[in-house]
Amino acid sequence: MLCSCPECAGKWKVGSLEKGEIVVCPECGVELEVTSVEPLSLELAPEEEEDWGE
Amino acid sequence: MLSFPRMDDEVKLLYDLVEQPSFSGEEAKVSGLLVRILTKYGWSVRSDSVGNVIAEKGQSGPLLLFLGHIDTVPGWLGVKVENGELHGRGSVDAKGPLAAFVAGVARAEATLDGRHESRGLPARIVLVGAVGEEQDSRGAKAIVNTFRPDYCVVGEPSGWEGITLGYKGFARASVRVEFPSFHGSGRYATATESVVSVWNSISTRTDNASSFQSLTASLESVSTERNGLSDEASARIVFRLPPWASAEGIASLLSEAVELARAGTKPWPENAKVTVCLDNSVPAYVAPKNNLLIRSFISAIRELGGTPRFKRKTGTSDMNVVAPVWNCPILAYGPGDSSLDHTSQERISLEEYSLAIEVWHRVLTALPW
Repeated sequence: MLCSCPECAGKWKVGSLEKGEIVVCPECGVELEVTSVEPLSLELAPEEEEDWGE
Repeated sequence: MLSFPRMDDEVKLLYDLVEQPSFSGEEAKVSGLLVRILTKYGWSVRSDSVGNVIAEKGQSGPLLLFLGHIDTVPGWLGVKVENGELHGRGSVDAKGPLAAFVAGVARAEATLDGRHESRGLPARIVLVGAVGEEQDSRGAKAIVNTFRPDYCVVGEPSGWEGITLGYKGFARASVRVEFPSFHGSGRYATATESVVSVWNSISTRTDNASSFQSLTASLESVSTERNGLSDEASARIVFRLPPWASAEGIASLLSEAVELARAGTKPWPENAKVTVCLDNSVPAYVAPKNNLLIRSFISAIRELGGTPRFKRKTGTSDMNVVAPVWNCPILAYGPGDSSLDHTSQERISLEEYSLAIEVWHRVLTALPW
């Protein structure tokens, strides 16, 4: 599978991916979520935020 | 076969749990109530020696363990439903997350039972309603060596779109200074001044801003006693530990703070007795996020139109106790705004509660166990 980073347009190949998997772009280091496998779609992964509790 | 629960039943489930006070150490009545509720929902239920409620469903497959807690902090608020919100102590922390799981399992069973090829739940599910989470996590500590789950979800408020991956650690310490009694006009510091000086040293060596990576300390209490023979003072200090801090590091910090205070401008008497105790501590924990469990929650939240968010919390939960031992995919999930935890404004949106139930429904029915 050929991945394309929506942030930096970097491209790289992987063997297989699953929907919901988090991958890291080897070019810019951003975390991406596999939102669809066929066709392959990568979007920015859920943001990490800090919160109070428990 | 369970009938598909009406929203009324799901709200009543939460209302009944919140209506029963269950401050830490006083969980017996809510424990009995939860046993009755879970039995009605078809769970096999028992209580263990410390008072945890343990319920099971499913005969085979991987083990999913839901670790909720049935105790709350003190401060009774009364219970009411107003403007689409259920107000009451524990509505957010953490009876909302627990009730959402119970209702979500019921919705999932109704869906699975309705399928032509149904074989029921594709996993074994254990629900633990733990006692003592708000104090010393004694409930979680009691079961940590009893189960070895394949997946674990800790029932704590993350917001229906949130997935909590980590919590800071915690340590509670005490510093006690005992001096022989002497006249206050003398050259020596008093025991009280010495304890304050130790606290000031700790304060300058920790962070003021609370963030996940900061080491913070707060002065929980100071007490003093003079009886004419001795002059005593003690302080209790709470540390919030980032992932890079350890109990050993806190012990070193305390020792250094005592020595710095001792070397201060006002001398301590030579026969001063100083006792430093690290009463209990638990390290920070951050869960990996690339696994089947996390992916299932992300997908379910997106299917419902939500925007998944990962959270790291500056507090501590039972995740800190069980995650390092179980070493399985783990997250904390549940409806509710955790900024309302431990406040007089604790309340939960019933719309959010229902969305979290639906997230559970979709996770349980879609997981390729």
